[in-house]
Amino acid sequence: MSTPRDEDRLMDHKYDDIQEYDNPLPTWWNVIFWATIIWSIIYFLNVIPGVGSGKGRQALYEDEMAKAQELYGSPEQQAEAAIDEGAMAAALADPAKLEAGKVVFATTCSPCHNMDGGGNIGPNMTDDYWIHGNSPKAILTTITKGVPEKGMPTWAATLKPDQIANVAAYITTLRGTKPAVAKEPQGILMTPDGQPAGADSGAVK
Amino acid sequence: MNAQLDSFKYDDAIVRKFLVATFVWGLVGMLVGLIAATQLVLPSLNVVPWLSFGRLRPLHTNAVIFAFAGNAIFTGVYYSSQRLLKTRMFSDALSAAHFWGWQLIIVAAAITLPLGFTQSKEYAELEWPIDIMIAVVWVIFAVNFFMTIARRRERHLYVAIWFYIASIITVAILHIFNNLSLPAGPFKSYSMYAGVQDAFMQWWYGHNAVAFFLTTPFLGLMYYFMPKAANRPVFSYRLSIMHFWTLVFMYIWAGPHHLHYTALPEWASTLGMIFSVMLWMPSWGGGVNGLLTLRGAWNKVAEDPILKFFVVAVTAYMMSTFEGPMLSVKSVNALAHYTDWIIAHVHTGALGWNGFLTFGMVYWLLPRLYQTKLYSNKLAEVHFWIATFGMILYATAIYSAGVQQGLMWRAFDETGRLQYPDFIETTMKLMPMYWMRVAGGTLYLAGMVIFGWNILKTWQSRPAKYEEPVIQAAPLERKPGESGKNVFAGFSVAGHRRWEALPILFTVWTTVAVIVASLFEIIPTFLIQTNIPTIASVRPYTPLELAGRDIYQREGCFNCHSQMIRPFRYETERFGEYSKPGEFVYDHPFLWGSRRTGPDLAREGGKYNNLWHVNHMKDPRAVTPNSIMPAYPELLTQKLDFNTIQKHVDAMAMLGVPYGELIKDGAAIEAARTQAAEVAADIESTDPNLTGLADKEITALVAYLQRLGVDIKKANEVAAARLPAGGQ
Repeated sequence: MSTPRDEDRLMDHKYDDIQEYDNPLPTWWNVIFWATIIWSIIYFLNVIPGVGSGKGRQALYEDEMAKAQELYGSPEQQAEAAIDEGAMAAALADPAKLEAGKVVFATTCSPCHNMDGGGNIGPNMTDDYWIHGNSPKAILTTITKGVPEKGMPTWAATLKPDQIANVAAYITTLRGTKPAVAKEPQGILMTPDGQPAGADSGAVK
Repeated sequence: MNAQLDSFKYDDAIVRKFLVATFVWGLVGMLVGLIAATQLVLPSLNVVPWLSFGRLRPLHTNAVIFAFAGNAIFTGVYYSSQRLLKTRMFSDALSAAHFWGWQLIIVAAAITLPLGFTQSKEYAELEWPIDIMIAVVWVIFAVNFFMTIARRRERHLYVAIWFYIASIITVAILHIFNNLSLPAGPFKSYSMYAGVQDAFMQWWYGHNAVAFFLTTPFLGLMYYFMPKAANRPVFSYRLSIMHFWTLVFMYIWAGPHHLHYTALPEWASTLGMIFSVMLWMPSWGGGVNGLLTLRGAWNKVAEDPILKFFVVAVTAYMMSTFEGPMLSVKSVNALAHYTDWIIAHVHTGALGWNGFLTFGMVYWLLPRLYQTKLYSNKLAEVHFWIATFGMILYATAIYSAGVQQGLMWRAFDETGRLQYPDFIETTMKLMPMYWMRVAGGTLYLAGMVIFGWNILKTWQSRPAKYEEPVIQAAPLERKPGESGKNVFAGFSVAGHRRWEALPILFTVWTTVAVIVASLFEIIPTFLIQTNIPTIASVRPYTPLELAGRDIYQREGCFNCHSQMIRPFRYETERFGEYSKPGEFVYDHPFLWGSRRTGPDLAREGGKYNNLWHVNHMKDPRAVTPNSIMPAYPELLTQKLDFNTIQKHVDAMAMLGVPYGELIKDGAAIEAARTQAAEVAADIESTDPNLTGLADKEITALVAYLQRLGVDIKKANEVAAARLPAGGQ
């Protein structure tokens, strides 16, 4: 389409004194233009590995998930791994870990349970009544797996296992503290070691 | 000889009007942008509901695109077309109707968007009565323009005119087909399309609004004002032919790259990507022709602020039209989508290309239109440098913000858990860069103020009465019957030259290029059933949830929250199961969003309890410390308008949503009241301090949020609801 050596030859037209040269398309422009077209055709045909949609996004996603499961276990296994009563007991004995648990509580739990654990959107953590139990295992399970139907989120994906152990330990230290504003008791009266407190335990609301 | 010449005058009064409007709306639009940017760092600036971020952001985009860039286009088109076609505009009355009609539309937008009247489709937010006004005014413009071509005294059309033709035709097509909706009230409508199809139409429109409103008309302006200002011939006529046709044909296909990895079928996404890649050189053709036109005039650039503006404009154009194809590559897009990277990309185009081209053009026009000297060349220089610096500051900050947040979203730690599981952590990291954006925006706006001063002072030194030079030119001789044998002539340079003398044929071919390309994607999207596998458990929103969805739209929540989880592990770990096409079949309009300033909400239903949502709306920072979301305490006191619910449900039913018995008189209102009482009772039982919420807007919004994404949890149909592969 271009005749050689016609650079800067003016076209014989003029628009409001604007003139145009009859220059050919720059070679690099042509080369890249056709290269993108050829590449696009190859990509669309999806026959050369690495150029194209490959197996498609669905299959790629499933591969990615399978690989992660192989490396780190299934989400259920990951959640189970976070329910570690030993780590919780260790945290309870270690002031530094309790302090770390308090920080987790302040950022993660306080929006619903209040900074002092007095309860708000979620139940009061300072009284002796528990909806889902207060044994170490029960507390760890509630945090890890959540109670989706009541709005308690699943924290296994958000908090790391040591954070879960720390915050669970911290929560048990809240019992008996007297926050200025406390939500009314919910659940069953429980002993500190996680047993229902016998026949006189009235189920509250 | 002289006896055969026509005598006529150009209409520059209309150009002066458009020029002033360009400046005024530019100032307003950019100021609104600056306020919105500041709200993102200081959420307490969301003082009143009608000035909250969700309502201001569309006002900013509409103002700078349609009011600032729009009036700039009309300024340049009215000035250059008359001269390139050697005739006065066809009708002064139509010119005036166009000018005043367009300003009226802008005022209507500036009133209705803060009031929360919105179709919630980006850059097509304006509600149906205004959409009709836009269509009417656009037709007035088109008639005026094409009749001017018909009366031309220059046989051939210059390349700038080709670009104007393509813009006028395509914008009309895009506007009409994206905005097809069913009115359900004076300022309320529901899109004709739902879910995947609505998303497809919207981004077919959205992408090509960028193409045919912010690119092609400005290329036309460049082709007139750049050679004029440099006093140099255009580099290559052949390049302009080649890049015009390839650009017009290829641009239309590129829209789906806005929807990579969404529930859009993969074949459409692939087409969008490859056509974007192929679009690189067609876009650069214009940039090359612009910059190489300055060959031999580079010494002038050093001393002429106008040429400086043009050089930066074309450079910014070439940067963003390289970046566009790059961003459309799926793997790059996976990182950039939903982040500020996209915001940075459009601002390079808007501040650099559209802004600077407009500034250069206006500075060139001022002495000619006001028939005096430019008040201060020095101030124009200052404007150039301050705006350039502001733009660099803006771009640096927001590119960094985008890449940083994108990387944080996808980071996993060594135990296979998300490194930053708390969304707010990724938001807080952006704050220094958001401040830097505010600084950059302030500088750019300061440039506008200097610009305004220069315009004002130049205008003040205008003559008492403008001279209107009499132009003389020979009329065209009629050459009937030419078009028939030229239909396919344009594939050679000489043949194309013949087309340029045949505006009707030229326009028809441009229209064909645009429509054919569109249909290749639109027809399969609407007709192939397997694109959207239905899911039996997905049901229409209840009347109350629909009312909540209307509030969600009114408040512009979609401006910051996506509802579309992509099939990546880092997305599904964070937000839940990825979104399926069948989940959106009742979504008129779709609300997938394009930027995640806040977290995705596609699976929000059931994540928290009702009270959490109430407290969060009342004061987001009480629930999520450091949140930058505006507070919506008024939703707890504003009464829900139950009376309109029936009308809205009926409209949805007319669009094919199976509402069954609920369309009977008042049934939808009854259902809404019952559900509202239940939701309110639940909230009030968890927090006895809250009372009387059953007839408040918050209840509807909470009901809607709790419904999001839960339908496929009910039935285990996830496996059946796979993404359509479509062979690609």
